[in-house]
Amino acid sequence: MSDPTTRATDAAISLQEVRKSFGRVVAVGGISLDIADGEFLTLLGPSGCGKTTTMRMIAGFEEPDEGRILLRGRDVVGVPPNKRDVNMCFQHYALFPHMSVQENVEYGLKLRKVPREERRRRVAEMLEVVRLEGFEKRKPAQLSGGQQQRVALARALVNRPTALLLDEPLGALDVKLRKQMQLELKRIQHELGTTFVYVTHDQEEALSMSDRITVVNQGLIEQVGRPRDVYERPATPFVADFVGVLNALEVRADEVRDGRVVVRISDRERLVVPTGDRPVSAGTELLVAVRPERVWLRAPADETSADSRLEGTVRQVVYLGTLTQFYVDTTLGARLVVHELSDRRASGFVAEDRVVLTWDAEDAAILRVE
Amino acid sequence: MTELDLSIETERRGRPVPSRRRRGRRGAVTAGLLSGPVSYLLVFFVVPVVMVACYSVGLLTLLPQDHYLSLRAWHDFLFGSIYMGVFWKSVRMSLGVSITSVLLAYPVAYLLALVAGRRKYTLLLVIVAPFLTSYLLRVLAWRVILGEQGVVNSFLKLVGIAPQGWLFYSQFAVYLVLAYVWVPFVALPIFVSLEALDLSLLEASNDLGASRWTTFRRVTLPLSMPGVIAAFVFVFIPTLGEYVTPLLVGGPKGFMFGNGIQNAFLQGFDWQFGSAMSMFLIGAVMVLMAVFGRFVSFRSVSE
Amino acid sequence: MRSELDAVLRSSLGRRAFLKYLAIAGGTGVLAACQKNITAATQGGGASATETRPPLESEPGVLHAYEWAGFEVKPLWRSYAAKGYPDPKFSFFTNTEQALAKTAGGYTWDIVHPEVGYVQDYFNLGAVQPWDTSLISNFPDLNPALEKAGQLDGKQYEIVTDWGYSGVIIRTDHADPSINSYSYLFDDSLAGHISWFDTPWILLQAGLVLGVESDIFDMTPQDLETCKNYCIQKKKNLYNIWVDFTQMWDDVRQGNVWAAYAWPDAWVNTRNDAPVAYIRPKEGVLAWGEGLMLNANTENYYHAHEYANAWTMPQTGLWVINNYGYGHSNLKVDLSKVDPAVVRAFGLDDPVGNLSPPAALMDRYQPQRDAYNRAWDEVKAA
Repeated sequence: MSDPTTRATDAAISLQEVRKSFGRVVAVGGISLDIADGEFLTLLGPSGCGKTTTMRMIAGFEEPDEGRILLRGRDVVGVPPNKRDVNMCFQHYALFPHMSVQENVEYGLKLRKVPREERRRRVAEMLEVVRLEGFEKRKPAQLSGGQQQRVALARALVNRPTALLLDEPLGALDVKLRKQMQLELKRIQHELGTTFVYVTHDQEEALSMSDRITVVNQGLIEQVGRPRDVYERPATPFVADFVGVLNALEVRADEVRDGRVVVRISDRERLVVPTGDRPVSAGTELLVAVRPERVWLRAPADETSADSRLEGTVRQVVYLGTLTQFYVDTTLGARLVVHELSDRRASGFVAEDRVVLTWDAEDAAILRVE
Repeated sequence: MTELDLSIETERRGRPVPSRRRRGRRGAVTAGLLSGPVSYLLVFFVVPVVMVACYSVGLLTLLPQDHYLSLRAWHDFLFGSIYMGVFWKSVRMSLGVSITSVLLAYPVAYLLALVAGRRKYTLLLVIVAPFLTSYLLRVLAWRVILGEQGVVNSFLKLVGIAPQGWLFYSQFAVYLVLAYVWVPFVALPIFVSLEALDLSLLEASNDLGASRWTTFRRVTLPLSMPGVIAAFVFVFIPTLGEYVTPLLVGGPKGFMFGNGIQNAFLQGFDWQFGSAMSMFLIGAVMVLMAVFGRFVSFRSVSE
Repeated sequence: MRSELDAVLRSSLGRRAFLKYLAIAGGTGVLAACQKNITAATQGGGASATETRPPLESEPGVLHAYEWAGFEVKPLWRSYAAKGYPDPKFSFFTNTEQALAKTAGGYTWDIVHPEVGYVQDYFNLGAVQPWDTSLISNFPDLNPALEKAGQLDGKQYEIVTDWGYSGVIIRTDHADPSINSYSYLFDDSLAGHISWFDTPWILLQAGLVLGVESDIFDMTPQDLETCKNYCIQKKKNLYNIWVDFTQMWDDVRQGNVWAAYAWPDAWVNTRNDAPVAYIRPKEGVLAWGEGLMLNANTENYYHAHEYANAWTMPQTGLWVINNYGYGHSNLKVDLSKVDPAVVRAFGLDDPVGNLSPPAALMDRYQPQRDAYNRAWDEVKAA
């Protein structure tokens, strides 16, 4: 599947019909993607989906079986990693344990025979950017996880590469540190303007940091788009399920009117969803999705003017601090998840309560037409 | 162990815990478990060494011609004899052999750890397999290869070159055979330290612009150094006292310090002199270990 | 584990205990060694033979023979076994220096088998008593030249049983047999093809070649120094110093070695494979003998004599000559059953004459063994 938002010009990196198999296992099935200069692009997907393999092919540690990889317009397939103008930030940092921070960071510069004074200056600059001034003489073993991560970043970025490839760099950090580092990474990327290609399986991370997200599944691209688009208008069921929590309902269309599909479920229950340019007519089987935070819980007696109404029983309430999750069994048979902010307007429902789920038509989308 | 006790104490700050008693009981169990190996070491290692030391100064005597309480043996050894010269010869040989074995073993270990892939452990077994045969056989087998009528010389004769007598019954043979015997031993610690290498470090180096050779020089080699040094020490110290191989393949020049000690006890009757020489060797080895100990942190080697 | 040990050692109680045990162990060890020393010294010189000796029947009966490896085989004591005595128990030494040291340390045996050069050493330890030759029926038939070597103060401390020469084996296609001297081993014209044995006797052979004045078994320091320097000078001619005689035989067969220090068995084993000759040099061939010595405190006095008698049987002698390539001391060995070439090589046609000076120089006690060994070490180290 190719990327609909292609910008053919100014692409820092361009993947064209790249394929790679390991034996009989197809790791990457045909990926085409343009990454723009200065953008923060995330490859998001579950383990084994091919995102890491794709990144390693960009870096040069794997070679594609078919397809082209262009770095600033130049095909680099067959070029070894040390001759490509991209640098990688590894998951477990891969800092040289026998070298100090200074020596680690200047490693690439030294190889390029950058004179000592300039080296020192650029390293000092970069350490400032990653906020590790004064750490030059420390050894990696004396640094915390977060600090090591920043040294790894500095080491890669000091070479001013065309793009920085980050392979799940925050996986080894605890949650609080991870959130801090996400902000740091974003800031650094902004400050330097370097293209970042980021690989992760954490969809929250992807949503918070990226300019664009590429959702990858089983070696193919499912969707490319801005975080909001991917989240609110998932192109495929996989994307909808993977990014954020999904509520999916299988229904049959009863009527199509004014660009909306109406599904009558019972006397007091119905579902309205925009057709969204899909070929829907009465009788079509549909898969409809609605995000948990767009669903409201009301008592059965309450009056409401919402487009969609569905009745159900609360089965479980999970308190997550910021929000509360309600697992509700509906009359359609599906179990829906509802998120409520834990503030003054909390509904206060508990398990076994009978409730009515409501939402507006625009808050739902058709995922699939049978 | 001490940390654990401290944390428990802070937890129960109100009540005084009889931690001394706890530590005492654990200490007793530890002492009990250690007593077996420690007494073995004491009886079979420490006591004999002490006895040899006493013997060398005449605190103990055995034979009718022994001198009671005399430093004559030491005096003769240190000042009057050729044995100090022989000692330095042994030191030179040990250095040569150790360096040669490390140089030979490193590529072997490298190949096994980083190139061999799935066949790694099979190949390791193949390399270690010669250990299962007798040491003497392996040394004598070299005669077949290097001797006057051996493989190498027969080939040379075939090609029209005169047979080379210096290949066997010579210093060259001693170095070669000893290095050969030691290579499997030496390859192991180097193999272990290379195996422990994080491969992503090599990728990182590559990614930052280093060629394969530069990566080896800047990353692999320095990180495998503890293993190399351990291997070097591992060869150097036993080889100092080596006498069997020089005897078998060393020819007229094959007289080493170990041979001197052996002769004093087995050919001569000069046990006091032999004891003095043995104690000297032990002393030299301990000094060397202390010196090496400063350069290598043993903790990093054991990791 | 290390921290546990540290903890034990760090606690003053543990450290004191540790040192205490160490001291006790060390002290016990030292005392034990001294103890052995004292017992050895009080073993008494010579035979404190009790005049009233228990008869053979009430002796324990199982002889403990401390022997060379290979001398435990039955043909050597066949007649002893035939008389129904229990089989002896054998233990082995690598060489007599080792056996002496062990004996000094308190090891006991009934019979030991040293070279004649060490008879005095065993006597000095106070470990032996003389044989009663009247109890050995074969004694009158034994070679007087040999038995003399086993005597001290006129008493027969060793019954010499087997003997050999330390001569030279040469390749007749490279060395001239008529030279007939130890000089082969120092001959520059044979450079690169000479093989010495690892023994101080090379010094003695150098002494013979140089014609030193003093007794070669007890040289003056100057003469010893001369011999040593000569050997060091001639060392450059060496192919090797052999340790294993079968390797030396191979080298002779293959022509790598043209002259080697060798015992007659070398000639016996190579004569069919290469043109060789065994040389008994004109300076006098160095000869060695070995035999049985009797422990001063043995409880098997009569059994030991019976055993010695079995060893000195002519049948035993024949077996030894034909199987081990050593000579035997019994003059009545049936020479018709021996290969004539061997008879020639050993000079068995005149065993007494050939083992006496000037033909042969019999091994004897070396008072300066240490000096000789050091000199030999210096030659090897050069």
